Formats: sequence, structure tokens, C-alpha cells
Amino acid sequence: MSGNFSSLVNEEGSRVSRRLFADEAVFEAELEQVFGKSWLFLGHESQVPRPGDFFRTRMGDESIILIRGNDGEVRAFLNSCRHRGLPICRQDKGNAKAFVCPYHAWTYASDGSLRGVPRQSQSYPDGLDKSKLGLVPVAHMANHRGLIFGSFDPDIIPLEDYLGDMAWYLDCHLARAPGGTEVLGLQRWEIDCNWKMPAENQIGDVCHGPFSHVSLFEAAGGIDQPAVTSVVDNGVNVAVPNGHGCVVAGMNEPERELGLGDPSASEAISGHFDKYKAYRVEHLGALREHLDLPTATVFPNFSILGRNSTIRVAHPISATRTEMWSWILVDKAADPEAKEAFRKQYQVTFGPGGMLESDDGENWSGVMYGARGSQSRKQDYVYEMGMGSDGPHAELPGSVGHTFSEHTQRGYYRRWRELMSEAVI
Amino acid sequence: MSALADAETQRAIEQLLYREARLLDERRHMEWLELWHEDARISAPVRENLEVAPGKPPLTRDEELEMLSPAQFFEDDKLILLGRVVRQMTGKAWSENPLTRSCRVISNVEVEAAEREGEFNVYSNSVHYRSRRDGDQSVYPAARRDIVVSENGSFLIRQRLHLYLTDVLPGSFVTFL
Ligand SMILES: [Fe+2]
Repeated sequence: MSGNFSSLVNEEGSRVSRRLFADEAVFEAELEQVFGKSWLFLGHESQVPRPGDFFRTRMGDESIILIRGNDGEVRAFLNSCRHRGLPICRQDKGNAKAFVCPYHAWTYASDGSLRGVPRQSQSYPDGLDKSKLGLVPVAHMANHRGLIFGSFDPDIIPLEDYLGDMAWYLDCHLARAPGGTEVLGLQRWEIDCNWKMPAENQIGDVCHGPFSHVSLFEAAGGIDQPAVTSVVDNGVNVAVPNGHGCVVAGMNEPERELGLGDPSASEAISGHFDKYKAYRVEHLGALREHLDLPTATVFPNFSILGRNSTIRVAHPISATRTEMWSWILVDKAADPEAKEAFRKQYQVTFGPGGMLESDDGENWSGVMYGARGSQSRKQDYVYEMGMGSDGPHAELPGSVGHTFSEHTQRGYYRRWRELMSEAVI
Repeated sequence: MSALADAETQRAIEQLLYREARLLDERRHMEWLELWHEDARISAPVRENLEVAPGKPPLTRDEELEMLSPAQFFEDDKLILLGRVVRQMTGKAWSENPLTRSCRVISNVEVEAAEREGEFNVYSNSVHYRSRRDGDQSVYPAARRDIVVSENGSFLIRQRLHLYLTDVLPGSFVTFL
């Protein structure tokens, strides 16, 4: 095959080559064209509150140090010594004045600058220009309501333009209580699947829910319970430019109180939502006061499951392997009982021990198995559900349609096509 | 360090742990559930990569646990355990159907009498092998600390701290520890 990677997705985004889900040549090109040219999620500001606080994270296939400098600025660098490339940050998180490479003790300050090389006058008698050997910085950094994003692309558009109307939806979750959100911890696990599967599922694949997750729904209250119907029947799918999308619930149920759609919502959770109702009306308006985000994806690999208190990134390991990072996200203002209730509700539903996550992981692997065969990979995957049924909405930004429609996924793959059209096979 | 339990108790509690593992491996979930106390609680904290400052000795594992975030891979009470079992019973838990084959190897069992009468601190290691299809196999080693209680002549597991070895779990399909 020769030509352009963009031929792997049709113009509408409704037919997608199976090569996107198991082909290493496609994967290699994505690392530059998609991960090199997008805004990627790095972490939450509550993980690095004080000067010197750091968090070891990832962007695409790179290990990254996220660190707050002494000047209060949050920066990110490739986690790699300029001398021999070793990761200089080897713990998950902490507070540090400096990072010392374990091999030859090159030492870097929290602003990334190279501060020390052992016996410099002896080992570099002609001098060593340390000012040119600082850690390699991530080109751009930005913060949206506590979510820290970075981009390797020096020419990337500002984050607020990149998110566009997506911010309006994200804020339903991120700004529903004073002080915004904070994270309580991080789970990580690996799945045999392509990294796009979690992203395309969480961008709006509502239609798998009633079938795929039926075992938990039957075990906990039945398939017609409000937790299901408030999304499947009364939710909408919204596609937003630049490949983002979300599922929005509460639109047709203004009387429904946040959190009550979930059978496991405890008094602590519903009490929390009651307490900040006036706050939501004031800061989000009468409509967004009662909207919530069951699932959403910011292109390419960041997602939020609002009802399950998690933000997550699907990190690309190979064409057929993905490492999931899933943070537990709660409202900072919530009292300790509510935070614990949100955390436990997350853990029993999502994450590697979660009963919904296990159904999803099984599916995402299956999609990859179906893309590996020499004959089957000549076929496309079909994303034609609800073609032409989405459009502008009187109250909601973006292109709005039914939850049993794949318009959010079509938007995602159109964005993928746009970025990949610059790469040549 | 508390006193070791007597040989008879040691043997009975070892047998409890082996039976518990076997009932899960044999997919006899309802019988497995009966081995758990009404106030059962399981926790499996997310392991993290920690460093000590130069000049400091390594942290003990207890010190390490105190530094972890509140995030857990599992945090179940008996009601949630029952939920996991009932989910299996629907025949629609697709990550376990086709059936999962498992083999849990339990060893290094130490039993100490706890302060309270009829209560025992039990240490053990487990290696959980899990296989589903076409040679796929995952391995989940863990250290465990249980509290086992004697009630009406039988031993029940009331608490389990399950310490996975890995920081990144293989797969997202772990229905039971
Ligand atoms: Fe799902």
C-alpha cells in the first residue's frame, strides 16, 4: 500500500480501516502526527500544589516530568538526561529541589536547567555550555480548570481554541462546586487493545451499554433503572470540532437531581449535589445546573466519566497494547464522606476491579483481535449509525444527536484523518 | 510480635485459605461467599514507586503503605462481593463468559493470635493465574494480610489487605482477587 494515511478513513469518518487498530506502521505515524500535534493531558493541578512538587506522567510514548517550579509555574520536560538519556525521575510523585541522574550524576533544577556535572573543570577542561543542556521542555503548557495539558507542537493553537465548545461541557463537571476538582489517586493497568478504543468508546458509544453492561445492571436494579434510562433514552450525544465529543444527560429531565440517576448514589453524594445547587445555578446557569457528563473524550486520548468520578488517559504502548491511567476526581469542596462515597462508587464500577470496566476492556481487546488478520484487515469498520441525524440545537453548542448515533466517533476519525493526511505511508 | 497460634488453629486456617482459593478456582461462588464474615472488608491499594532520600534506609512495607494515596484496585464489603457473584450468575458477564480458568497458589501462611480472643492475624502470599483464550495468561502475585475470626465453631475471613506486587495491573478483567 502506498499513498496517504488519510485514505484509511473516508471523508465522513463513517468508514474506518481496521489497520487503525493493529498496524504498527499506522501506530508509528500516529506518534508524530497525532501525539506530536495535539494537546495531551498531563495531570491535575492538585497533584503539584507546592513549589518542587512533581508527578511522573506520560505524553504519547514519552515519559514526562510535570513539576511546579520555585516561581509557582508548572512546567513539563522529557524525563531523560541529556547525557545518556536515563529517566532522571523514577518515582511516581514527590517534592524535589533537584533531579540527579543515577548514572553520572548530572543534576537538574526544578526549572529544567542543568545545574551540575561532577568534576566539571577536570572532565570538560574546554568548558561545557550547561545553558544549552537543560531538560527538553514540552513546547506549550496550559491549564483548563485544574486540568493541565501540554503539547510538543510549537505551533499548536491555544488550548481554549482547541477545546472550543468542549470547555462548555467539561465545566458542567469541573465547575459544579467552589474550588473546582481535585484528584484522590491514580490507577494504572494494561490492555491488549489499540489506544483509540477507550477514546472512541468514551466519546459517545452509548449503544454498547444496555447489552455489554447488562450483567451489572441486572445484578443492581434492572436495565430500566434511571442510571441507564437517563443516559440511553434521555441523554444526547454531542460532537464538537477538533475531534472531541461527549454524552450529556439531564437535558430532558430538568427535575432530575444530579447523582440520583445512579443506584449506588449514597446520601453523601446526593447531599453534596443538593448543597451546591445554588452555586451551580449561579456559575453554570439554569440549564447546565442539571446537566452531567456520563462520558466525554478530548481528542486524542483524554476522557472523563463524570458519573463515575474519573478522568483517564489511554497511553499508546504499541498498536495492540495500551496503558490506562485513571485518576479518581472529586469536587474539592465535597466533605470527607462525600469524597469517600465518590471514590468507592468509582472503584466498584471502573478501574481494573470495576465491574463496568471489565466489560469494556473485553470489548476493546476484541476490536483489536478483529483487526489483525491478513484478510479481515482489508475490511473497514462501520460508523454509519445515525448518519445525518445530528445537527445544531437551540440550547446546546456543537452538533447534537441521539445517543444511538455514531456522530461523535465520526468527528473523532475525521480529526484523525486530517492530522494523518500529512504523513506518507 | 504476637504469639503464633497453636498447631490445630494454624492447620484450620491454612485449610480455610486453601478452600477459599479452590472454591473460586472451581467457580463455586456462592459457597465461596459463605467463607466471608458479614462485616467483611477487602482492600487492594494501588502500589506506587517510592524513593527514599539519599542517606535514608529503605522504607519498611508498613511505612510504604502509609505513603500511598487512598486509591484502591478493590475495596469491597460483603454486599459488593455478593454483587460480583450475582453478576456472574446472569450468564451475561462477558468478561467471564466464555468461562475464565483460574489457579490460585497460596503459601507462606503464618497465623498469629490477635489481641482479641478468637481473632487471628494471618499472613500469606498468593499467585493468581488467570487464563481465558488461545493461550492468554495473566499472573497476579500478591501478599495478603487477613483477619480471621472464629465464630460458632468455624473460621471466617473478616478482613483482607491484598497487596498486588505490580503498579500496573495486567488486564482490566479482574472480577475476583
Ligand atoms: Fe462501557
